[in-house]
Amino acid sequence: MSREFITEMRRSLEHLNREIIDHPLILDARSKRLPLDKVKVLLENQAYIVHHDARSLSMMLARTTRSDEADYLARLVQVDLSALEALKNICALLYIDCERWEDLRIVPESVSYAHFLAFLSNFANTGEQIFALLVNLPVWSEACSRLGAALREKYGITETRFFDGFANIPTWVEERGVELIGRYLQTSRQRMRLFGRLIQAYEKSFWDGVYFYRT
Amino acid sequence: MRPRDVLWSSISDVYQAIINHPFLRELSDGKLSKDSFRDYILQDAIYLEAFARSVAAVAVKADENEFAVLLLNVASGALTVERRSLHEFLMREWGIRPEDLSSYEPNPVNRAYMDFLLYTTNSSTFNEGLAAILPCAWVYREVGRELIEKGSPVPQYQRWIETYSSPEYDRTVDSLLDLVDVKFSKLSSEELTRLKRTFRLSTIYEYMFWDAAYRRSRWPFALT
Repeated sequence: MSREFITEMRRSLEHLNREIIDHPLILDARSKRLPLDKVKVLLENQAYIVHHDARSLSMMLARTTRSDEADYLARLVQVDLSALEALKNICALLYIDCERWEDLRIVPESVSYAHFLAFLSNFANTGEQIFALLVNLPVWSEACSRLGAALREKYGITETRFFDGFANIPTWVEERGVELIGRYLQTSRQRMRLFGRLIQAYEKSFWDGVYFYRT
Repeated sequence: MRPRDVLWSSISDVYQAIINHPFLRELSDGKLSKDSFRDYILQDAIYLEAFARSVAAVAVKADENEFAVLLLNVASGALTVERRSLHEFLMREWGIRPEDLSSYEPNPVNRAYMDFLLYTTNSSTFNEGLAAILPCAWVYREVGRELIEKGSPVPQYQRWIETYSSPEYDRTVDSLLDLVDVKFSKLSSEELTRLKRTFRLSTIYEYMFWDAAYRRSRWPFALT
C-alpha cells in the first residue's frame, strides 16, 4: 500500500520534478554556458544545507521511538556525513571555505529546503519525515547525477564525489523507507501529501535561487 | 590538569569497582555464565538505541559543525557498527532476530540509565549532555584496553573484548575526549563541579549495568 501511495505522489509531482531535473542551471552546465561562479554559489549554499541537514537528521534520530526507524535514520546520517566529507573536497578545490558558511553567499530561496527539513525534524512524525525524504531523494539524485557529469565533462572538475554520492543513493534507502512509512499511512496520509508537495517546491526553489542569484 | 583528567580522577573509585566486578573478571577468565552474558548483550542492544538517540540530541546542540559531525558519527556508529557487528552477530548465534528485541524489557537499571540519558541530553545544555554520554564510550574503551591483554578463552567473550579495544573505537573516544578538553576548559569551577556530578552519576550507572546483568536483575512485578 505504501508503494502505491508513494508512486501516486511521485506521479502528481511529475511536472515539478521534471522542471528540477531539466532545470536551466543543469542544462546550462551541460552546455558549458553556466559561469563557474554559479557552481561556487551552488556549493556555498550546499555547505549551509548539508551541515544543517545533518543536524535535522540528528534531531529526527533523537525523536524516533522505534528501533528499526532509529537504525534507518542512523544509516541516513552516515550517508549525509559522507556527503559532507565529499563536499569539503570539492569546496577546497574551488577555494571555498565551507566550514565558515556564515561568510558564504547564502541565498534565502536556496536554503529554504534546509529550513523545511528542520521543521520536519521538529514537527513531523518519523513516517512523515521519511516519506518527504523518499519523495525528494530520487529527484535530487538525478539532478546531482546530471550536474556531476556536466562538471566533469565540461568544466574538467574531477572531484565530483559529492554529486556522485547522491547520484548513487543506496537501494536500501528506498526499499526500507517504503516499508517504514506503511505504519503511518492511516493517520498521516494527508500530511504526507502536503509535506511531499512542499519539499519538492523547496527543492525547485534551491535551483532557482542559485540560478537567478546575481553574482 | 586537563578537564578529562579532572573527570577521570573523580570516578576512580567507581572505575576500580567496575574493572574488579565479577562480571568482567569472569568474562576474562571464561567463567562468566552464558546466561548472564546473553542477558547483558540483550540489555546492551536495547540500551544502545537510547544511547544513540541521546548522543544525537547532544549533536543537535553543538555550536561548531566539527563537534556536531563527531557526535553524529558516534550516534550512528552505536547503531550501525557496535550493535550491528557485535550484538546482532551474537543474537544471530542465539536465534534472536533484531526485530524481536522490542519484546525484551529493559531491566530496572537499564530503564533508569536510559531515562537519565534521554532526559539529561534533551533537557540540559550541550556540556551537560556531553558529560552524561561520555562514560559509556570512555569506560568501555578503558575496560577494553585492560581486558585485551588478558583476553578470554571463550570466543564470544573475546569478540566483545576486541570490539572495545579496536583502533577505530580508540580514535572515536580520543576525539570525544579532545572535545571535552576544548569545551570544559572554559568553564567556571562551579560549572565543572556540576558536570563532574553528571559524569559520575552516569559512570555509576555503568557499574550498575554490569552488576544487574551479572545478577540477572528483573522487575519484582510483571510490567503488563
